[in-house]
Amino acid sequence: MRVLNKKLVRDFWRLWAQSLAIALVLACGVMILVIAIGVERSLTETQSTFYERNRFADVFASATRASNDLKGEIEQISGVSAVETRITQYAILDLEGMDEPASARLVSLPRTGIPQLNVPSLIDGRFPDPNAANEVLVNEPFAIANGFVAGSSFYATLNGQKRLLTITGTGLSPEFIYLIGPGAMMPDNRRFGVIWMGYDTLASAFNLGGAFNDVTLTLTRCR
Amino acid sequence: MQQPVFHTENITKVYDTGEVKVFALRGVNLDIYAGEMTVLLGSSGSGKSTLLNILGGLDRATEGKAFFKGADLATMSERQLTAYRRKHVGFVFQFYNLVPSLTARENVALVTEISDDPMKPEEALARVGLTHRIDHFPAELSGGEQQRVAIARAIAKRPEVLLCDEPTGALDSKTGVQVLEALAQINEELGTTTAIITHNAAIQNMAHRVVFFADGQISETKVNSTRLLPHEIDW
Repeated sequence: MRVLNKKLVRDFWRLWAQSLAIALVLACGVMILVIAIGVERSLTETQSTFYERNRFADVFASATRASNDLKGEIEQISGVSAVETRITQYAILDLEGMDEPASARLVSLPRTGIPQLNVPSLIDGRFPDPNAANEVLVNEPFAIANGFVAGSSFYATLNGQKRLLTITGTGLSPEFIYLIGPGAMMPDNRRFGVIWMGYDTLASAFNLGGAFNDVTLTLTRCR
Repeated sequence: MQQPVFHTENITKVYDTGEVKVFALRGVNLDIYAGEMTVLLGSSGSGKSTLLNILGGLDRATEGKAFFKGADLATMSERQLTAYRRKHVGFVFQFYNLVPSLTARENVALVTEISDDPMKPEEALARVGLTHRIDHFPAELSGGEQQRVAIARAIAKRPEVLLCDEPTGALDSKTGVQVLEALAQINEELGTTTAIITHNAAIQNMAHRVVFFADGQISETKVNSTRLLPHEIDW
């Protein structure tokens, strides 16, 4: 063994406690790095899988009112893979036992019942019947925060008309991961939620018959 | 006429601190000959250590030239200076700079492992009278013994010159004499050109030649017609 190596071994032996401490710190650092990389990869994969499974759209656009006939034209645009037109609006909620105002984002479901894009994952219950005017699906955090389960009811004011809505189930959508209500600074799942309900009900409530005010689409080059 | 090992021409060394320029050397001309034991004597700050550092390739002159066997040290690159120090120069400093976790033998082996034609560590230590302390660590050795290990380390690579900067500066008279005996023996037996820096005037008596330094200049040079043996020196 060369003399410098002997020196190294002796110095290392003399400082074994410090060496062990340094090794442990390094090991912890490496472990945290490996865990962090693993978590980051896992989360990225989970996100991709979630987006893919729920057919999360690539493009979102809104309008005041557009005829449903435009859907065909949008589908013909080069690079467009799938198109979904819908109605989205805000509504004031009247929740029992809550003094402060609550609101929700209303999203229409197509007449077929389940949307083609931005499909909510059903956590509990069932999708609303497209023909039932008062049936709704709500996002799960909102339901949990307010103690709602399938079968619960609450009042909502849709364009000035107060309606009693019945929850058929709860869901999650990649479109609404981090929800902040209009004018709010922080998420408040008790006072702001997402409500999916039939297209016809929303169209008649907001005078959007035969029309849509929101379009989402996926692109071929993104796939 | 004998060729000098070291030859300097008007060496000047200035330390420029911005506001003040400090002249450590002011035009030093000196020849040191092969096999010679030279004592550079002077008070602190007289410039002798600066000159030794320049001759040893540890520092560069601001002006003037320093030659080692005709090679100009001022024009050497850092790599060339490193090779010069490694092959030709042995250094002994006031503080021994031994590696505490290595024995005397291993401290010497540090040098012999990277030298071209070294003597064995055991031989080097025998030459300074430390055969019986060969496997002792520096902490187990006296100051004089540690300095003799440092001398053994310096001579183990068979250098042509041995530059000693205050080798007895940290030692008492008795142990200092032991170190001087080791240096004298190396100079006699191996013919190693030896330059000893000291401010201890008693040491001048063992040298072939004494160079007196004052204020960055050589004030006087004296050749000893009769030399004392180290054990005859006392301070």
